Amino acid sequence: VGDDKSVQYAKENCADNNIQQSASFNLSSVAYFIRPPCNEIVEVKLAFLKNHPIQPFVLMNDKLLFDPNKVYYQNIETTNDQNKDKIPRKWLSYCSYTKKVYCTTCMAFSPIREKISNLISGLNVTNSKNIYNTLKIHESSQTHCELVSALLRANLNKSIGNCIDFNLKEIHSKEVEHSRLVIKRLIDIILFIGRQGISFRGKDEAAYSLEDKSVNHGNFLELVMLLKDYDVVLNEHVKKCIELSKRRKEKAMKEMNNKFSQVHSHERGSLVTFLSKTFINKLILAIGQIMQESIVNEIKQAQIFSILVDLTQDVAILDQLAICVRYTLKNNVYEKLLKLTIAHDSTGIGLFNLIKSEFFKLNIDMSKIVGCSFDGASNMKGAYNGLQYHLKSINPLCIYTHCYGHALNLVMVDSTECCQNTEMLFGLVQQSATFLSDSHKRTKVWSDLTKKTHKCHDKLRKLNLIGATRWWSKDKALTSIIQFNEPNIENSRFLLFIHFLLQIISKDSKFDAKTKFTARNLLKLWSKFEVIFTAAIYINIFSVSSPVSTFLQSRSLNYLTAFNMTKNLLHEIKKRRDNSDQKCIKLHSDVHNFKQKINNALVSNGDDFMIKDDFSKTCLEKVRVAKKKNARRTSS
Amino acid sequence: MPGELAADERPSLSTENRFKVETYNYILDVMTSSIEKRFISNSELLKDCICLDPKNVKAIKHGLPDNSLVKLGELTNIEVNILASELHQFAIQFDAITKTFEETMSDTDDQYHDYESDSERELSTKETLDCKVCNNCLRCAFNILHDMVQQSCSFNNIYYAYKFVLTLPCTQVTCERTFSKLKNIKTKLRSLISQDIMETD
Repeated sequence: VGDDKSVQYAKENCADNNIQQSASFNLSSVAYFIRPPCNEIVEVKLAFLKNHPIQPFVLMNDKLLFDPNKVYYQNIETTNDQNKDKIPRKWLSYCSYTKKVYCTTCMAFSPIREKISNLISGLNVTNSKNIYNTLKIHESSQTHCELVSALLRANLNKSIGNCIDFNLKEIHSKEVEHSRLVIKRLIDIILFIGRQGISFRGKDEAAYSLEDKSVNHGNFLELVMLLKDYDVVLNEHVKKCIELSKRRKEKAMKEMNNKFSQVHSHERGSLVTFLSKTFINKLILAIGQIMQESIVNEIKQAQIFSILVDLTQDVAILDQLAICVRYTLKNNVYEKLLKLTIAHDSTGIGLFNLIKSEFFKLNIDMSKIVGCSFDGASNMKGAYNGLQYHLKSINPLCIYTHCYGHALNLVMVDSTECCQNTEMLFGLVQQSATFLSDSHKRTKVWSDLTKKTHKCHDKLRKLNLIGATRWWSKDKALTSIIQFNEPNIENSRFLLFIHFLLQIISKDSKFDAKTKFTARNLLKLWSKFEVIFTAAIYINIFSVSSPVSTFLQSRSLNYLTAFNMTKNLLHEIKKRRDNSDQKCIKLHSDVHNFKQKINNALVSNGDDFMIKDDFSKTCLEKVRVAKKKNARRTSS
Repeated sequence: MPGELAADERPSLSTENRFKVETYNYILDVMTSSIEKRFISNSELLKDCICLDPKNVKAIKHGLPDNSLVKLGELTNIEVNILASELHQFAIQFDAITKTFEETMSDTDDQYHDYESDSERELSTKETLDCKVCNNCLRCAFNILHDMVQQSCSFNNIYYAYKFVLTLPCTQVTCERTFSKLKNIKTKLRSLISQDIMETD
């Protein structure tokens, strides 16, 4: 066994040497018995001692040639035989392969010039007749005692090498701890800002200007300044940063003045404030990465997952592609955003390649995708060149679902655009809402009216427009103008709206002719019986469909419930169709009552407006034509 | 259209009736056909899913319908026989586990509840999605299975099937939700925000 070789080198050597013969032999255990070089630093020597003592009591395929109790323990002989006190010999190790006993303390700390004791190079157990005695002698020898004290000194960090950097180390570790505390606070601030969705930065961010209260430094720095007043750690840090930054600026100014020329004041170097935008951005990215990694890990645990993909255009006119994943972990279902990225090529293959590269970057196996859900756009759902097709090329069993929410919305669109009366109703609703919100003068008239009758925040409520992106917008828009079972008809919005229109066309109003004309037209249309009747039909339908629509938007909905909901919706609609005679009579009487009430209220107010008593003749002639057209369209 | 009467051949109806036929009925017909047209996809899989519904546990205890679970077996790569037998076993145990003491005492066969009340109830009471107590939805069944799988290995396949069905997406709402958030963050004032940083938000 070489004396002057480093531990690692010797380990390799062992592997090369004849020791390899026995298969059951553990190489590393022999490596433990290689002496560290005597001029090595203390840490290495202590590391060598860490593996010791090795004192096997039982051997795999051999017998111990000595009594372990006598070798491994120092027996203090007292007069009382039964209470023999045993002290373990920590310095002693036995190598079962070479069959030698070693004194590890001496191995580590003995200087080279001294005569090598046989316990350093190994005392062969088979040769030595009186092993117990030899050990005792070594134990009490002076060299051994000196080396033991060297070991104890080393353990207490009293060697010269440790004395020097001990203070430095302490300062270093303190600084690290302090910085950690500061960063923890900064991370919490970042998480807060992220949750609130507000901006991080303002215009003036230089640390030397932080004390200036008149400047807005942006949300992040202002939060730091706020917390600083209540937190010791942060306060200390910010104070130091401001001071350093100020000194630095002065220095830069001086240099500039001296040289009478523009000198870059952006020295790179030692000022680390943790408050700069670069640092914050790095932190944000790190947080994002950690979040993404945790999601990726969960996906990998879940084995199977499905993806939801959608595109939209943002304010910067870029196509944003959102990739969400759905997976079950333990007994919970999760739907999480995995990646938000910009799509430049929105064809089926382009999207597919983009998604594929993202998944590749995240190291997720795409063949584990069992389901996908998109809207009805052809680049997504297309069976021959859409994203769906390409996903199926990876996993042929991938299930495609047309988003139920979108599909239900399309059903509503189908039904609201099917014939003249429905088109008329929703056109009218939309027109009324825009008529009101188009001008501030009209809104003033409206709010003056609503203030009288409505309470709280309803005072300023306008009519809802029909938005294209909101799935329940048709319901909202219709019910915001007309409702049938209102207890107090005098306060109903419909009546209010009629009043509003009447006020506009009244003689002493100051609106121009065009406005008055539109108002008159709206009045005329709202007075039609069939419009009110159609509204009643739709409110009846919406009362079933809107709950389904909102339900479909709830979190972690599952396949079966969604299906059941739509099945029930279909059932409800069919029921209404089958009982159309009764339903119509009921609706008719409802509408009649409503009409009567409105008319009474209007008459008592002395207004010149009435809802018509019955269907007008014109409403049906055209319906038949429209219906025939539609029928032909659906049949073809 | 063949069989359709010309306008003047039709029986003369009152305006009220004609409105009923040509508007009310028509709207509902359009809706029905539209729903049927748009929600038609994956009907085979849905049929299998219904078998997994805890509401049908009683029926499954007496045996599964023919040809059920075929599609599900194909998709999850598990043999249909194994799946069916495990489901059968599970159905028997599920009933026993979920029944409260009172129900066990007064075990009347109420298989014949009418569909009408059932559907109405479902529309009115919105199932809470994170429920762990109703014992009447897929999630609850999955919860119970999750506990069972940890104890024994006899339900591994059916557990996987449940997991598969629960993993399938049915709406895109999460994406839309993301976009609504996106609109709040990437506003007119912050249109140049970098992609990575926005993603973290």
